[in-house]
Amino acid sequence: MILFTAIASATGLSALAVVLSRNIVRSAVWLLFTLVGVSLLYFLLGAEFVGATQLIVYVGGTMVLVVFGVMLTAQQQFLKIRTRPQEWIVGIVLAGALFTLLATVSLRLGEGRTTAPTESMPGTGQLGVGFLTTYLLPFEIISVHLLVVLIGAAYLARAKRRPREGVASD
Amino acid sequence: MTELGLTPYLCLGAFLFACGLLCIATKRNAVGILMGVELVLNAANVNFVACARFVPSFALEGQVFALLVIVLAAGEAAIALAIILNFYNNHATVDVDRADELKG
Amino acid sequence: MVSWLLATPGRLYVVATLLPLAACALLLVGGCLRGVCRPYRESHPIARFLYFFLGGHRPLRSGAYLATGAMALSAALAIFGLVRYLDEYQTLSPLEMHQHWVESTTWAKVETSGATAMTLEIGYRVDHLTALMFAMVAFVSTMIFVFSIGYMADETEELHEDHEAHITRPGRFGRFFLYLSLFCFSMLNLVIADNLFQVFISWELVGVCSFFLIGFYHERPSAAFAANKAFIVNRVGDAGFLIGLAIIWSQFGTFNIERIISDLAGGDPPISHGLLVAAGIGLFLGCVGKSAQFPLHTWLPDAMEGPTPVSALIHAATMVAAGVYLVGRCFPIFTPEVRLIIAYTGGITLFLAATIALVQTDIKRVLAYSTVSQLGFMMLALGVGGWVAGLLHLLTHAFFKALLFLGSGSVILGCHHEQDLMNMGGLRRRMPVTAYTMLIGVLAISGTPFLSGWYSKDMILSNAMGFGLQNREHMVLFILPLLTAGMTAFYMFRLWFLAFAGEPRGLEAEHAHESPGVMTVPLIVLAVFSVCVAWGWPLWDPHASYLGHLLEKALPGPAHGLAIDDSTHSSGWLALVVAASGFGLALLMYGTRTIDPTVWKARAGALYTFLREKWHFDELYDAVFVRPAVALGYGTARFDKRAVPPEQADAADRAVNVSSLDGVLNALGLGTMFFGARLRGAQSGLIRRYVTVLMAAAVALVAVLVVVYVGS
Repeated sequence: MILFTAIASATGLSALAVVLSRNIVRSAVWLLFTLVGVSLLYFLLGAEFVGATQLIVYVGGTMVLVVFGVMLTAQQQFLKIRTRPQEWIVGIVLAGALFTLLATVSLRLGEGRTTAPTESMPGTGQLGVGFLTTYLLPFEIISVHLLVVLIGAAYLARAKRRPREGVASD
Repeated sequence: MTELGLTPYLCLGAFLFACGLLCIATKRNAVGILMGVELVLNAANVNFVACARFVPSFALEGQVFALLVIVLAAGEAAIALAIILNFYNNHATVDVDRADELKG
Repeated sequence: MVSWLLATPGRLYVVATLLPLAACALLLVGGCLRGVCRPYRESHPIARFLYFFLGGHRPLRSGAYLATGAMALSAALAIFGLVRYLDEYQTLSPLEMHQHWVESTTWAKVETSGATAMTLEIGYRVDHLTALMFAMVAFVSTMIFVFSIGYMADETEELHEDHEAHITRPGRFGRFFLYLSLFCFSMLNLVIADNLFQVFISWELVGVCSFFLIGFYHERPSAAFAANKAFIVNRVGDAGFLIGLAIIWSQFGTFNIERIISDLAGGDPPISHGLLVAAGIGLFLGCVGKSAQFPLHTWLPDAMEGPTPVSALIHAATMVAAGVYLVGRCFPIFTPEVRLIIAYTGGITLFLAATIALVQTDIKRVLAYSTVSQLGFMMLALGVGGWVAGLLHLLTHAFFKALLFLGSGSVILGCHHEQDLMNMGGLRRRMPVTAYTMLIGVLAISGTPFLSGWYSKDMILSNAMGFGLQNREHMVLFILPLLTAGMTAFYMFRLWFLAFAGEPRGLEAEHAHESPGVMTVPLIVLAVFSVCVAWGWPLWDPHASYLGHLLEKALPGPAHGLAIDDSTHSSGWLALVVAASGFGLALLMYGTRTIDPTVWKARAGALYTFLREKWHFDELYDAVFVRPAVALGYGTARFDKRAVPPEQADAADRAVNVSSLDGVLNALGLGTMFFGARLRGAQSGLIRRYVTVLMAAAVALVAVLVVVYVGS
């Protein structure tokens, strides 16, 4: 429980920092911490494969991508891009309302599910078997989807006036 | 540990979701918006895995869904970045408020 | 053919009715053909032939001869039919009479759910009244047709100059006879009709023909206005007529007059008393309009804008008599209350019109008001129950009024279209035939003994006296006609003296000439009839009129009782005294100039103006009905006006713009555009704003779902 509290609060605070920080690079870093925190939560829940995948793909792949993007679009006038306070207020109100609603729902949902079942979560082997039998279709679709993404991204970011490195996906 | 039950995980997920939405709504930097999207997707993933843990019949499905979401998020981030780079090439800025050419 | 006719002699009357229609159709076809051929007369030989065959540039006279011939044939058939009817009446049984003289066919079936089908019929029914009336109408019409050939001669010119309207137009000779023939057809159809529907059709048709004929000189604004007035005022009466018809149709299920009367005579009439009164009033309203009774009398004097033969035929002898004829035919439908209304209407009318006629100076206006007054006499007679008296007066009046109008036409033509009595005088030396035939007419209308008018007027007055003595509170219904008889004598003799006696007062009168024979022969014929049409044996007995006896045979059944004929002769002597005094006064004032009329005019002052201005009826109607209607028209037109562009609009235009239909529609359009422009602002192109809106919508939806979920 202590572990959960620590990890959860760290993740939450990082997420908050992502929103609140004005420097885009700092936001990226806080996002990194948030993702790591989520991965730790997965490990805590016993879904080791998912947690590992999160670290490899998300942190190692997507975050790198985001950082690349930040660097490539860097400008002098970073700090001048700011949102007005009215927009902040509207956003906070709406987000707060949404959070309250979802929390209410989750309180209801969580009744009666306070103890985890004794058997452990399915592990890597069972996941693999599942992907190749029951969930074969989504697996194949995902593959094709990734191919499409690859082609699309390569096309979108193709060289025009000066050569640029194509932003490849994983 | 496990005495906490499902509720705290779902609440955390809700919190991450709200932060992500707020990020999307308030960041003027296009990459910032992308970060918000990532937060939202992660929140959903947390929900999935937590439910997988506490609802035995959902154990396999939850993890499968979470994996699929991770993969899709990565793909989507790639495309998003490609778009942002194109936008940057055309307008020399990533301020999304400058992207109002579709206004009525 | 002849045997077919003689098998059911009533069909003679059908043929006689259709003859003028055939003439009208032929004239119409000829005229249209000529008009069609006119533009092609240079290019096509056939068109050229037809065009010149049908008259060429001038109207064809033979069309008029054709129409007159048809009418004369119709009159001959009518007289033959009358003789034959009277003959058969002596010998045949009522059932056989019915077979010979009554016939009808179904024209349209109107199915009503459940009940038996009600039908609209066309048919004819000949009885004494019908036969006499038909013969009178046909004969008088023939005389007028003959007269018109002479009177309308200046319409045969290729180009006729209209002095009042100041334009030059082609002559319209043929058209006159076309309309006149159509009118005669509809009038005859009205007379022989056996059901109210056919009567109504003819009713409207005579109204239409009257409109055409009054507005014959339609380039003159006064004529066009008068034609409109006649038609509209008639329409007001017809509205009541329609209501009466509707009540009768719904209650009796039939329009057939015979069946309605027999239904009423039976013990249990299928109609409540109140509804019967309403139906009677409705029908009578139609007659009020058609016969120019108070308060719908204003159209008849204005109708003098038409040519004089029209005035003679339509507004003296036939069309205005249609109302009286209908009252006579449908007599049992009128309950005693309605009859009282009829009598009082007639009484007011006769007095009103006579007072106005006292001071008129246009020769035709005097005669017009005289007609209105005499129609009032007829209505009064019918109202007090003197059925025979009223209808006898109808028949005699037709003859002498037609004579008077035709005579005035002769005078007008002789004086080169001069109509003002004050500019005439001394015409008896220059136009002797006209003068002395008109004298006979004047004597007849005044009730001189042994002339036709005496018999009928005397009978009316004695009936009125009988009624008055029976119901003391209605004695005024005798006093009024008595006084008016005196006034009638006065103004008619005033007319004669002003026109024919003394010395000429105007240039036209000095150079007047007698009219040609084609116009004077009808005058003589009508004069003869005015004298002797009502004669009976013994001559000096006013109730011995042969015509009267014939009419008595046509009396409708004693459904509601008829008036007691007062056999005392005191009313006759009173009438004679009054008429003689009227004559004497006229002689003194206008004949020998012993009393100076101008002095009396000055003394009368305001009363004179009041009478001269026709009791201000026209102004009253104008203020009460015409102005509000026109204002309503303008108001509603304003509602529909096109919006004036704002830069050109002044204050009044702006008000119209806002309130008009165009303005409202424009405002709707502009409002939509305005809102559209405002809403366009929502499409800002800013991604973050879109996301915020999406978020808000999502939050709202989730809130709804959660409330439902948590609630359940």
